[in-house]
Formats: sequence, C-alpha cells, structure tokens
Amino acid sequence: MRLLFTNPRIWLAAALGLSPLTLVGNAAAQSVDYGALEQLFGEPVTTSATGRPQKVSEAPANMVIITQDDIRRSGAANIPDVLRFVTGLDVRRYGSVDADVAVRGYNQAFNPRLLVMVNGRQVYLDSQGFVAWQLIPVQLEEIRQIEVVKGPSSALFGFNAASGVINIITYDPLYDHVESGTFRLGSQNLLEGSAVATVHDADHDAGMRISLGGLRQTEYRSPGESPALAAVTRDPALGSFNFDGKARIAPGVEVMFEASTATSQNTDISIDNLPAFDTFHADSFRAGVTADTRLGLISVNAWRNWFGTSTDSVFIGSSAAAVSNPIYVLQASDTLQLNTDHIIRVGLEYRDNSATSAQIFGGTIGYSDYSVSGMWDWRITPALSLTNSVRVDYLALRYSGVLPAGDIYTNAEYNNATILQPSFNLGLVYRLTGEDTLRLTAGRGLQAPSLIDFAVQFPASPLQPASFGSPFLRPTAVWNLELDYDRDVPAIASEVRGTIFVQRNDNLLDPGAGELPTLLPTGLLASIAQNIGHSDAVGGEISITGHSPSGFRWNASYSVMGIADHTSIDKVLITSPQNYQDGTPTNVVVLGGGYTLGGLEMDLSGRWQSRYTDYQLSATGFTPVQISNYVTFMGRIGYKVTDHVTVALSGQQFNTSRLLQTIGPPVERSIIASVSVRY
Amino acid sequence: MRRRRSLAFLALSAAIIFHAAAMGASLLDKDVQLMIRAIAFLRPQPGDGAIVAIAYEASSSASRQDAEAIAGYFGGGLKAGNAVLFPRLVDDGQLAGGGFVAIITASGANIDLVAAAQRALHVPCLTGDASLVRSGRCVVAVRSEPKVEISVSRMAATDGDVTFASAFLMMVNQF
Repeated sequence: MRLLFTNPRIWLAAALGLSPLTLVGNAAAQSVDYGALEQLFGEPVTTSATGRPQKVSEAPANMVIITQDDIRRSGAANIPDVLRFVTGLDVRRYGSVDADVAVRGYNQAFNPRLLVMVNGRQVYLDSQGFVAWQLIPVQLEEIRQIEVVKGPSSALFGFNAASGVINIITYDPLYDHVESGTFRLGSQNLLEGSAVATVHDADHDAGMRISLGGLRQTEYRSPGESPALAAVTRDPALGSFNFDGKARIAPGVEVMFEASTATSQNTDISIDNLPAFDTFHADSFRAGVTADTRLGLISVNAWRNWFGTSTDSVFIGSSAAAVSNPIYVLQASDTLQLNTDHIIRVGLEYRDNSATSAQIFGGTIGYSDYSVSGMWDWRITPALSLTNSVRVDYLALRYSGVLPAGDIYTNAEYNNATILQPSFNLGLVYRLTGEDTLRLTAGRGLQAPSLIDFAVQFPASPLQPASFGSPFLRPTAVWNLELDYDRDVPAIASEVRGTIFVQRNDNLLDPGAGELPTLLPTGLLASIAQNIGHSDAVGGEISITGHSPSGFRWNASYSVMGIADHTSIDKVLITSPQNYQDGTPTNVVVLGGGYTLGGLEMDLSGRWQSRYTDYQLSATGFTPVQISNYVTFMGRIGYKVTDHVTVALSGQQFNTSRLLQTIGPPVERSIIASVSVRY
Repeated sequence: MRRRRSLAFLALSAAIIFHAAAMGASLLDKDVQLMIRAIAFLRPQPGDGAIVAIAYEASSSASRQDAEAIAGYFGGGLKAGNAVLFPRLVDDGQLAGGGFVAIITASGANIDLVAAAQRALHVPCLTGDASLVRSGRCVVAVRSEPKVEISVSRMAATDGDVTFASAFLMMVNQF
C-alpha cells in the first residue's frame, strides 16, 4: 500500500482514471521531447505550426522562437516586455502590469485577435475576448520557449487564432529538471519573487514541477490623467501557482496533469477603452494522455478553465460587474506518418463556454462549439513541401436569463443562433539551396465574438447610452497571404528574413460602445454590437539576427504596415477604438545587441515606432489622443557569481523617465535588481 | 588503485582522441554525437551502459584506425537520453555475435555484413554516408556540417524491425 501511494505514476494514472494496462496496446515510443529533439537538430522544435513536430526552419509559417536564454538576457520581468522587441509585434502598456499584445497591428485595449496558450491550453479569456498577461500562471524561469506564429492559425487552434498565436512552452516535468528562485526589487517599489521546483522519480518515469510567484508595486500615476482613470487607479498585486505533472505509464504512453490558479488586481484599460480597476481570478485543470502507437501519435486531453472578474469603473459602477466564465474543452488528435512523404493529422474538439453575470448579461450566455480538423503535409520533393490544414467549427449559442427592457432580441433568437465557419492554412516551403528558403502561405483565421459581444446589456446611464449585444454577430475572418524569404549568411553568422503580406479582415466586430447609438424600434436609444465592415492591410518586415562564437549577438529589423478601414463607423464616427488605420503605427524599427564574456552578460534592445492614435473614453464619447513616435530601450547586465547564482541589473525604458505610449498613464522608467538561483 | 585505473583510462582516451585527430577520422566528433542522440529515439530505448559497435574491416589497418578514432569520440561514454553508451570495436566478420544496440560503420567496413547484422540482430546501422541509407542498406545517416541532416531508410528499418519514436521520424528525411 505504501508503494502504491509513493509512486507518482500510479497517482497520475489514477487521477486520469486509467489503468496502465488499458493503453499499452501497440505503443512503440514516446511523445515530443522538445529538449532532446532541439539538441539533436541544433535548433528549436515546434508543434505550433501544423500540430506535428518539426524544425522551426521547416515550418510552413512565419514563426519566431524566443528561447529561455533570450528571455533571461532581455532583462524583461514579464512576457509582454519580452515580446516588445519582436519584429511584427505591437505591445501597448496601459499600466505597470496591464499590457496588450498584437501581431501585425490592429492592437487595442483587451485585444481579441491574438490566441495565447500555455502548452496548447488557451489562456485567452473568452468572456471578454482578451488575454490578461498578468494572469498567466507561469514564471519566466520555467519557460522553455515562447513560440510566436504570425498570421492566422485557426485551422489548427480554432477561434481567435486570428492575427496570430503565441504558445508558451514550459519545461517538461518528465524530461527537464528546473530548480530556480528569483527575487526582484526595483522602481515603482517593485517587490517580486518566484520559485520553481521539479521532482523526478528514481527511474525518470514520472516528474512534477511546481511554481509560484507574486508581485507588488505602485501603479504609474500622472497629474494629467483623466478623471475616469484617476478614480480607479490603485496599486497592482499579482499571485500565481502552477502544478505540472507527467508520467510514462507504459512504453510510449504518457499521462499528464496540470493545475493552476492565479489572481490579479490592477488598473487597466479594458474593453472599449474603459478605465477600470479589475480583480481577476483564473483556475485551470487539465489532464491528458499521449500515446505513440503504430496508428500514430494519439493525444487526448481535457481541460477546464475558470475565469472570474469583478470590475470597478466610473462608467459601469463599483464592484458589481462580476462575471464567472467556465470553459470545458475536450480535444483528441492523431498525427500519423503514412509513408516517407505524407503526414496527416486529424482532430476533434468540443468546447463549452459560458459566462454568468446578473449585471452584465442578466443571466448566462454560452455556446457549445464542435469542430473537426485535418492536416496533410506532403513532401513533394526533398526541397519542396506543401501543408494543407482545414477546420470547420459549428457553434450553437444559448442564453438563459432576462433580457433588458427595450432590447430588440429575444431569448429564442439567442437560443437558435448558430455559426458554421471554415478556416484553413496552406503553406508551400521551398528550400532553394541549403541556405535559402522560400515560404508562401495563405490562411483564413477566425475571431469569434466574445460573450460580451453576444450578450452585454449595459443600461443607459448619465455617462453613456444603453449598450446591448447581439446574437447575430458573425466572426471576424482574417484572410492572409504572405511570402517569406529566409537566407542564412554564414559569412556573418546571421540569418536574414524578408516578408511581405496582404491581409483582409471581414466582418470586423464592434462591441457596441464604439457605434453611434440609434433609436431602436422599442423606442430606446442604444448602441448595438455589430459587424461593421472590413479592413485591408499590407505590410512587410525585414530582419537580421546573428551571433558569433566570440560571444557577440545582434538583431535588427524594420517593419512597415498600412491599413485601410472600410467600416460603417469609419464613415460617421472616426473617434473609435475600431479606427485601425489611424490606430496602428506604420513604421517600427528594432535594434538589439549583446555580449557574453565568461559569466558576464550584457544586452541592450531598442525600439522606435511611429505615431498612432489612441482613443480616450469620457462622458462625451471617445477623444482621439495622439501618441507621438517614441524610442524605448531595455537592457540588462547579468553576472554569474557562481554556477548557480546570478545577479543582474536591468532597465526598462531607461532612456526617459516618463513616456506616453497609450491612453493609460505614461510608462515610467524602471530599474530592477535581481538575484536568481538556478540548479 | 581505482585512481590509477582512472588515470590510465584517461590517458588511453586522450591517446585515442589525439590519434584520431592526427589520422583524420571518417566521421566528425559532432557526427558521432548526433548518432548517439539519434539512438536515444530508438524503441525500446537503450539502457544505461549499453554498447555501440564500431564495425571495421579486420584486414585493413586504415579501417581499424578509423574505428579507433570513432571510439575515441566517446570519451568516457556519450549520453543518449538518460543512458550513457560506450563503444566497442567489432570486426565486421564478428558482428553476428551481437551484444550491442547499434552499429556505427567505420571506413572500409563491409556494408553487406553490417546490413546482415542489422537484419538479424534488429539493431540499426548508423553511417555518415547518406547513399547507404538511400540504397536501403543502412538505417540512419547523419551529417552535422554545415547543417544537421538526418536521414532514415524506412525499408532498412522495416527489414531490421528497428523502431524509432514517431516524433523523431517525422522530423528526418525518410527514404
């Protein structure tokens, strides 16, 4: 009996309701060991492009991999700051812990277009359609790599992989051993700590990793901030805990279990640029099994996310707008190599997503989503490959509750509403020579309306008219056509990448507040969430990255993007967050360099971006705020005192004490001292 | 006594490495490391202390020297996953005796004898010569420079009943 309870494999198998015997079958090998494959091929490995493991250089997508070394050397203390210096990414910092990230423009407060996941489990929050970066229950030290996919990826990941995907891959509790502790002290009275511990059994057949972290600091303040923002500005506090366990219960069969909880309290600029003080809670549980069989790599996993929020805002009241948003997902896939040249993947997914709020929804709004997907990877010749991915989603909406007086929709209309939408990705990769690769990709991604979009019901107040959701919203469809060219330049130990893309965004979503209120047939003056038209974009990126054996590393990039909106609100109301053509900086330049000498690491990154327009919400509507072009720098000097202890000094935006980057308070200079212990 | 043995082992290893460098082995040390990392994806996985045969042609001193050079790259053993693997020089005529988890071919080794052992013993042959994989006589070919390239003969693997992890197979060139 004692043995039974000290064997983690049996714990995990029992937790999953599995007997080791049930899955032995004809299993022949293990699942994806990122570390071993990366060591073998000498470059990062990913499954985020097609669902199958492949070298990043061969993936049929424009991908950037940010490694643990990159994260450490950057000096960033959080994930958005890591992403700020990635070509093609736009990071808006609305507060000391509140930030929004977008791939290729169209950024906004509570950006709904970017799907973010941790090991494939979404941390995107469907109720409001955004990512609360501060709520991601992962410490920087336990991240193996951050995978950035530019362009739509809904054919693999489903809704909201519209403009891109960020998949945060943590170290594997079965294959990797991470023990670390980090303490940070810095500007804005920053006090932050994190710890990561890993335990393996003697045979290395089971492992678990536990991490926790917390932060306190003072919020940015500005004498000139709007009254609505000033009223909700309070100091932030964050805390998170994560458990990640995996066991090999038979040759080639692994079971996993994850659990996490996180909480955050901070001022933010939320949906439709609403200043608020939000209290967020998120819990997750996930269990899965992966079996490497003669029928392919079979994966089944189920997870439950729960997100709860309460909001304090002068526009919608104090601490009353509580939302409870559970999501249940069941996923199954099989990736099979048919022969030397063909790999296929089939996937099924069921998702149940609902949100309950008496104040915001008058009840519960939710949907069930059923999807089927397929991928076919064809190596036409050793130098040429074609990947085709298709997915179809069928979404059935439901509502139970009391719709507001004066609303134009009925419960029956909500309960009969459905969405049937396909998405696809095509990728042609041609290795012209050993040093040149050409990639032509096309895709259609989908951004689902958030549950707020579907069913929000804000009553009229002295500050704003009533705002209602709609059951008849269509997903935004993002069409993307792209040509990439990668060239290795061994003479300077560098890689050059050039990209051009065109994009069409159909059925852009407006949650309501951006729309001019109209007199409803019911006699009520209200804004209704709706699809407002389309927007076209064209852009290009060119970058060079390299490193020398002598310890130098460098990167430089320039990206340019132009957007033309063709929307209904564009015609009548240009002061709206949905004005993307003015709300996206046209030009961005990123430069970076670093040097390692023994235990000393020195790195510096800089970013310049051209001006754009943000929109401040006030009692009279939206006021455009010009955000001038600006330069920001981030750097770090770290020294390895012993094999296990590193001290570092890092600076974010150290070139200026205060910088207006959004309609949030000006971002303040931050200098952070840290001590890290790692085994 | 143990210390003296260790010193003798180190001296021998150093001598072999020096000798290999001087002779110019058919494989680079990076190639051999790649081979061992590839062996980690064999199913079942090799156990700790498993032996890798370095096959050579007994009548050729050049072949023997190449095998010694390859063995020299192992140093005190090379890690394959959680296991450490060790080399053993095996005359290609003696391969049928078995006792190893994989065969690395030195220059001059009789590939027909290696292929026969591969089929009979269900152990993969690893080579730096990609043509042997394309022709289905060896299971794995590696090249570490200028870029890592790994190829696998599906036919040879099937003939030898040699199995690898699916993730590994999906990432290599298969013939």
